[in-house]
Amino acid sequence: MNTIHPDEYDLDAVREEWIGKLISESHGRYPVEYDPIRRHCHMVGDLNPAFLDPDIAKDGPYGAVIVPPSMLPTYFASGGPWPPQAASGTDTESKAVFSFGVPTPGDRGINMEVAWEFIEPVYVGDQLRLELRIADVFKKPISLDPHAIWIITETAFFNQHDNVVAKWRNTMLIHRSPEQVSRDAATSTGENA
Amino acid sequence: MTDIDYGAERFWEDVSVGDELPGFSRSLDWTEMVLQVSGSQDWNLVHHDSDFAKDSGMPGIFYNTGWTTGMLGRVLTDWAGRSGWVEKLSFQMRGMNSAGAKVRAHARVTAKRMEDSRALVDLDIFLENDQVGVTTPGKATVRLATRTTGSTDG
Repeated sequence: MNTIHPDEYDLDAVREEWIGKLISESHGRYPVEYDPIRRHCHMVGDLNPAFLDPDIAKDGPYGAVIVPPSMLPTYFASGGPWPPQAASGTDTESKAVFSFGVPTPGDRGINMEVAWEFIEPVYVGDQLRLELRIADVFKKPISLDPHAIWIITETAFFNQHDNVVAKWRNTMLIHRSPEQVSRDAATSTGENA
Repeated sequence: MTDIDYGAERFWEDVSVGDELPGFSRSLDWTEMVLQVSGSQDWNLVHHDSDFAKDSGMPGIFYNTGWTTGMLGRVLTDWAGRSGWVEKLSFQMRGMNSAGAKVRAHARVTAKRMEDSRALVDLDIFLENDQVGVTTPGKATVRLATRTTGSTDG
């Protein structure tokens, strides 16, 4: 695993380079499709026909099936769920999967806070894209890792008409595994351990 | 099966501050864990691999953001009526919803207001489980139909 020792981590330089940076202008690989919506609804037992039944939805207020607001538009606006990205901690290269590319001492990611704004309905057949920017990077210790890094991102989602359909502000915590914390402590100069 | 009438409207005039949204519960068994990964397509190992989760310092696998958002979103859309629109949803993941827990999703109306002809309802929203209590407090704003217009168009 290629990670940065906390002694060598320059937070000020990371903030200078990354805050405000446009990280992704991803376009959805597929249009919005019925079956991923069905799987999302099945996940939480949602039986709302506005999301599931084209025959009923066509007589509803939107005239067609729409994506539930709770279904992360990233599903349709990014590269798509297949082929899958490497899961956290399984990447043997230096790719920072959950830090959006921002260098961090750790490689384990947990989502901490989410804020959504839903502006327009998203329909089956829509083609979505997103623009994701880094809004903030800071260090805040947690019990697992005194060098945990917090990354706030802001994402706007657009449809094929270039209308913003949703906005997303996300707070991700990137931390080291207990094994890495021990390993780093053993090789620390003492300055940041 | 459900007793929710998805074709009915929820009118802003009929909502009062303090109203409780009924919400629903889910038991987090192995089937639910698989549904979580299938529905969200989130392959982060901490959400389905106990050994990896423990290696990361967690007590075990815990449910992901897509599932959490889906649970909270369903509370709102089950209640909002056919024309209701969720304008905002935010939440903090302060505790974990882990395998074996029974999770309840519910909400409470905290305010009503008209803004630019939009009939809005503000809510506090929660996930809580029988292992640690409230894991995910949040806030939401829902636009409802009015009896005047019969829709959310204001």
